[in-house]
Amino acid sequence: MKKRLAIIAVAVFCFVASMSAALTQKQKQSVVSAISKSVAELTTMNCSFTQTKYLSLLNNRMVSEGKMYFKQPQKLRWEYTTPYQYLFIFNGREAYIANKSRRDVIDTQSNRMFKEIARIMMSTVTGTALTNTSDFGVEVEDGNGVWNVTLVPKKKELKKMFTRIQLSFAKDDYLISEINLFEKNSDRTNIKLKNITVNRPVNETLFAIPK
Amino acid sequence: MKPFLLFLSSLLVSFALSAGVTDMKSVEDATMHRYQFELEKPGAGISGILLLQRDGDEIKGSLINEFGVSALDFIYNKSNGGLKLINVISFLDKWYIKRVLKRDLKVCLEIIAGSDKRVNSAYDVVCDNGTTIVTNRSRKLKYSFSPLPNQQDLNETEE
Repeated sequence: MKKRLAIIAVAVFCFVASMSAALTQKQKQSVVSAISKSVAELTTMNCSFTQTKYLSLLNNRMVSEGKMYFKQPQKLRWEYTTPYQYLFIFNGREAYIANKSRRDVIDTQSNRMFKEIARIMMSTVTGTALTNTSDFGVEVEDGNGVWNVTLVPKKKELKKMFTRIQLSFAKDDYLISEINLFEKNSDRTNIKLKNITVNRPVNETLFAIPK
Repeated sequence: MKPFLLFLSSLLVSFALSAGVTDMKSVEDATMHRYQFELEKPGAGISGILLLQRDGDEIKGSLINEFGVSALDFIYNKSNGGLKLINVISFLDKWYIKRVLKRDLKVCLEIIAGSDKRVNSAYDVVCDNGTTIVTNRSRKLKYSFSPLPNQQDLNETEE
């Protein structure tokens, strides 16, 4: 009897939990609109981050840390500071990648693959990725104090790498707080953002491609 | 939102761009060992992180890029010298690439894991300031491994 009651209790709990997470289409649209609006108002952003890679084969994880700077339009500096040094800069046309011994600059306009990447970037930069995209299917869930937006890749190349990408946005300001990348081999990469500053001046030189 | 979708795109970029002797007994225990990894051939190269962990008679390994995206996993059997590639990223998942990778990785692991076997004469091995460089002379492929500091922050970033 006790066992049966426990099962019923668990079933009721799961049902209630799923009810609280489920959103109607209208609610989803409302959340997506609010996020898109917040994104549209974002001119600059910088933060530090902690990246944790969960390795399924090794049953272990790797933690790295760094800093991120973003500036409209399409300027990004993503920098790892520990335990390795690695720098990625995108200035809208060129991508710069450097570690302690290598430096590469790629013109994203003159390469078919990078052109496609740039196209995906543009669709996300203009905000169409969340609302009307052929690149991702979009799902929204009510999390604990956050909106969880799940992007399910539709394109072959992205599908080969990720089963889904989950972005978590704080409910109060619709700013992104966490990213989870789920890979085909059951690995997962979690990126937590800290000390987020938005719409404050960011030095332009941070996005300059070193010659 | 925008920065992170840009970041996701950059994951692809980093993979599209671009595998002397270190501590010979470094993979003798069950802790995870981490190496900054580079593979260079004339005119091109890729970099990433190599993670190795001993599990009984096997060494399990994952090669990821700096953004955390997996390139390949493998299991190396120390007693019989067999190496099995698993979960190979699509752009490397070609039989002719895997054949070379498998052979070269095996040589590199024998060196890193401190095998008693003599290094295949088709390869050059150099130790330069803690970094192990293994060169496949016929293919002109240069693999380098630089140990990363131990992960002391392992329990500090619980989810």
